[in-house]
Amino acid sequence: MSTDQPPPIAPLPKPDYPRIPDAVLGNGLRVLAVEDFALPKVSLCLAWPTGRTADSSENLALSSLAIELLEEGTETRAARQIADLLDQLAIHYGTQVRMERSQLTLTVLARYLEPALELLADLVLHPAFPDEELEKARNRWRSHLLSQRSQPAFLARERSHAALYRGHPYSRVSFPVAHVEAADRGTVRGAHRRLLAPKGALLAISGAVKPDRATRLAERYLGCWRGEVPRPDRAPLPPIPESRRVLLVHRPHSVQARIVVAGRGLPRGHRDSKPLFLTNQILGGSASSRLFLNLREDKGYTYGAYSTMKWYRRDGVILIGADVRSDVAAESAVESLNEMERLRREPPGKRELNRGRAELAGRFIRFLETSDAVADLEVSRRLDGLPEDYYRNYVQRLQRVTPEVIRETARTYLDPGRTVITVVADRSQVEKDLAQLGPVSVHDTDGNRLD
Amino acid sequence: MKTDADPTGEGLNIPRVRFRQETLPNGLQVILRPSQRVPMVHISLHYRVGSSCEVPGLSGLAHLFEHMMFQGSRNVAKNDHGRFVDEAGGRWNATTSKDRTAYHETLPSNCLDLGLWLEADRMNSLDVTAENFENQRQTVIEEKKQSYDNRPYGRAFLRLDDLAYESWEYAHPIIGAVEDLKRATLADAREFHRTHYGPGNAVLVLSGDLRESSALESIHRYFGPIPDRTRSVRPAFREPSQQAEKRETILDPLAVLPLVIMGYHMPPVGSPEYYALSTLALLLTDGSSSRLYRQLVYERNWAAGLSAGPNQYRGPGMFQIFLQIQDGVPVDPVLDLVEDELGRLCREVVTPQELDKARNQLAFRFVRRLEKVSDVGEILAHHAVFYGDAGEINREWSRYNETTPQDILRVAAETFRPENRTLLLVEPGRG
Repeated sequence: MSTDQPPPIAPLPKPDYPRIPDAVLGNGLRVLAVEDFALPKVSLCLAWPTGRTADSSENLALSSLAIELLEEGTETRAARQIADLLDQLAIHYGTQVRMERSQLTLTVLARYLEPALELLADLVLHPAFPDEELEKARNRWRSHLLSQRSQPAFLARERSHAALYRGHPYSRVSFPVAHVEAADRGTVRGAHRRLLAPKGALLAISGAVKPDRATRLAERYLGCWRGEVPRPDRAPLPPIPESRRVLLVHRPHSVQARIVVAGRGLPRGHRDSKPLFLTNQILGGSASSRLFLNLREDKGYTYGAYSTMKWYRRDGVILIGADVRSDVAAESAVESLNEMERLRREPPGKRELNRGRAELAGRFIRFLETSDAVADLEVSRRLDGLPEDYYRNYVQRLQRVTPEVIRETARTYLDPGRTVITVVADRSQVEKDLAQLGPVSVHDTDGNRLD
Repeated sequence: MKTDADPTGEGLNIPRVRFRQETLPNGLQVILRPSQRVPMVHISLHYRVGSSCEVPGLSGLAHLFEHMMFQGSRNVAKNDHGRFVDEAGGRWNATTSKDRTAYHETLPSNCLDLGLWLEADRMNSLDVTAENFENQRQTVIEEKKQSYDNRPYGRAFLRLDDLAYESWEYAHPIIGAVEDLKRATLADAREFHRTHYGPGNAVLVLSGDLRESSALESIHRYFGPIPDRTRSVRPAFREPSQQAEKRETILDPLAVLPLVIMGYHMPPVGSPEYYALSTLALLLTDGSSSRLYRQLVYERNWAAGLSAGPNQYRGPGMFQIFLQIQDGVPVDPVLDLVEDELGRLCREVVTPQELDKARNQLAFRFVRRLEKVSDVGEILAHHAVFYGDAGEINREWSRYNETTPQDILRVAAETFRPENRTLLLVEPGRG
């Protein structure tokens, strides 16, 4: 065989999405089990379908504080004892509050599964929220929220969401320091009681444990837990912007510009979500996609340019982003809009479409490598109310998308005229150039208008 | 508490990593690690060249050259390397460190040959135009801004080695100086390829869904004919023992909280001191019960974040401590507290309970790093390059277990001497 020619690219293997048994406890908690005895470890993921959007607008910090403070004391264990136990058993512990999902995860050597689950139950069922721990959490949040405002990517994401969602809960990518200051033991405890309940929540146990043992242990430690997760907020979504907006976040002493072109997308359950995902992939999903080849490989403006999608339960966002040389910030935004336009004009070639499909399918297959990741997919599928075969037929659905469907999808959902362009930079270096994109509103890094 | 835990940390079974090694006649070191869990294979190709192999005036060339490896070779056009892998549903990337440059692809296992062909083609030949070279020079300059110049503390991270190391090889940053990047030519890149890129200076690891015999056959087919012309020489580090503390303050207009970085010179990775200091680092900053976390973050709220550990260089190493200081907290008491804690490690043996805790944490890490074929492949390649023997992956656990409290005491006293320290303080503000 000649070594001048590439070996043929074989079709992707069919992914093997496992059957995931589940059981519902008497209190409504659903337990999922992803069995995998390859390594002696187990992960526990306790997830709720509520996140930042479930906080009341008076205090957006409460659900984050409630989850974070679980580890800072229960009725029978002080924070120090909990820390000692977590570290002694090498329990990898984490909490997360996202837009519409909150979770605790504990990953542990299989031999310590039972003490880890006992601890998890104690944290969730009997938290004490001691005042002195709340004060410490306030201090940690103060510095975290302050540091966040020094990051260009965060500032761009925050401003884009604020402009796309104008006061709707989906505009919440963080919360103000004042809300952390205002939280007290009573309000944090109230958030815990309201949000962290078993009925409507999921416990995924993945790794070296049999499903029937997983369910038995869950019943033993969490069976006495009571309550129901509140119904999700149904605040009407604001209309998609009628015209393009240009926002500049003045970050003094920046030596580069972060540009983000943001548009409203779709929820994952929408019938057009697969075609849109694939359209986004061709636009900017990888280093072989149009944006990257244009802005980096052709022009050398940036280290990388990508387009990503955020999926929310009732909507979604497309974010085209790059850190570019300040003197080409406006031009980079124009090129990004041109690439959107090009996809609306002409369908992609067959090879390009196949590449997009293979990238998404390959990423999915790699995801199935670990039981934790499979559990995570299954948790998100169920919390988002996606059909049972959503992941089983994931790759086949991608295959059905044709070049013409991509063009139609781009025409329907990728409208350069209805985007929000956010540039985070030192205004002295970019403001004049940005005027060619439209009227520019200037903000400081705290979100206050400067113009 | 009801528990089936074994708090002594005994009986922790760390799975062995089984693999096969072979060296081709042209010097290419090959490691095969079959595991059929998922239909994927990871290809990892590490060259024993990093920024420490550069010469003064051409800093950043090793990393700039890494970009060249995607700009075309005899049978692969610019950007087609990534495109082929993407079309197969794979993933690819490359990284440059002080000691090595690593290229990798994770592919569906039926596309193993494609990955091998791509790597062999660019090992054998380079076909970069002046225009593409120029384009990547600009890309790297933007990468430097994105990763360092426009990021809080970025300049300090570049300054740390420069201040602490006397050896230029480790002192200068991987990303290079902009004036050096501007000075580099296409001819320099071609020469770099000739000198450092060839089978005799590389380790190829395949990990995942593969059949040993057919994988070896393919490796021989694609890599076998490549002659080895490399003249790569490992840098001879001249790092004298540090006689007086080095201290510097940097003003950073992008930072909002002060940062303290401490560096203590130490022996290289793989030395007994390395295992003692890695264990000690777990006790200092890993987890919320660790000594420094408990005092600085939990009890006093003086620090917003902290971490510690050896810097993972193949040559002269450094034990680093990073402390992000809370707003309005003076730095001196924080430094005093850290010095007290380091002093205690030099005077008092760590308790058996602390050591058990560290062993559990290590066991967890050892198990977790075996989950993905890509992680296993990279770790094998790392061990082959850094320790000269991939088999070290299966001896590492006992190296840690053999580390006694007395070892930790001795190594702490040797390392945490005031004159051995480099202290870099970053303060928010304009300079």
